[in-house]
Amino acid sequence: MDGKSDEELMAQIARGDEAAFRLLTHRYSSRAVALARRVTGNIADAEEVAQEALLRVWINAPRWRPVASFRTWFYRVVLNLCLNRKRRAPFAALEDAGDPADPGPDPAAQLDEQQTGRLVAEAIAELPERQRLAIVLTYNEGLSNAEVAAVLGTSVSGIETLLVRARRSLREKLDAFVGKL
Amino acid sequence: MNLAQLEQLLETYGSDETRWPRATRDAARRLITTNSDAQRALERAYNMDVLIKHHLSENQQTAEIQQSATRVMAALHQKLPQQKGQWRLRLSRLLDFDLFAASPRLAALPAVVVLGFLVGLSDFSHQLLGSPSTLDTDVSAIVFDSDSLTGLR
Repeated sequence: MDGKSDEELMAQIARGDEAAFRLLTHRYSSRAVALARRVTGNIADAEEVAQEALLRVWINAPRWRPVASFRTWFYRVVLNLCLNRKRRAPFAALEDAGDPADPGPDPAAQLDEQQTGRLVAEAIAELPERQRLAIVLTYNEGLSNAEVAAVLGTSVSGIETLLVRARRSLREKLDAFVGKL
Repeated sequence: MNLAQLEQLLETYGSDETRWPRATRDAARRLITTNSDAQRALERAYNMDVLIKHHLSENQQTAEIQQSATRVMAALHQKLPQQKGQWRLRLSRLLDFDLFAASPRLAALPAVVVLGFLVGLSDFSHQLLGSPSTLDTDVSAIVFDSDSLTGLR
């Protein structure tokens, strides 16, 4: 069952197959938590959003029609839940995302890596929300511009404009580090 | 393609050429192979992409995210609620028929029945066919009037 596409798993879930649902949650739970955390700004909210989004997948599976890819639909559900939550609660500061994973035994290199990671995190956090989401969905989830447009409910040209602005902004802030790579 | 157009392409789609539009791919490749400024622009864009991807992927793999994801899975793998729309699925399975696709056509059947009732309850049928007494007269005239059949009285 591991090799099955998301859409094939959804067809099984629609027939009440809990094993297929388990596999799909295994594929998407950490992605959903990570994405939700970038939007809501804290892990507790992100966890609730991810759980709610996956629960909706189970509940609505019999009614789901594969007109778009599952991934696009699912990220849209996650983002909508995050935005609903943010509308209800005051905005929490983004990017208490923690330091990057342990890069290795060299303390100087580790410090350098941590500093770079923090600066990248800050630069991304300072982007306007839609630009940040476009960057996360493009780089983290590997979505095409058309898929990002579907998730964010806008046109492809709108996404292209967001990405151009976001990349310009990031380049201005991170140019010094880009040279180091 | 000139350098400004390449920079616009890199800002819009990033350094991964598989994401570039097919129509501009060859022209961009040609410029990069012949122009050192274009090569530097591509290198800068590539380094920026690597930096962002590296940061984002590391953040997704933090222990905190993984633990949270594990809790989400554990919560979901307990008793799951009833799915919506299951009755349609059960009915489809029972009839071995795709009700989702056929639903507009199937809706015509109850619509015709309802329309039949409405016509029956209204006076519309009487207006079309005439009153019952006229009908009786006409029918008996055809059946019992010998003139019309034999010419004998």
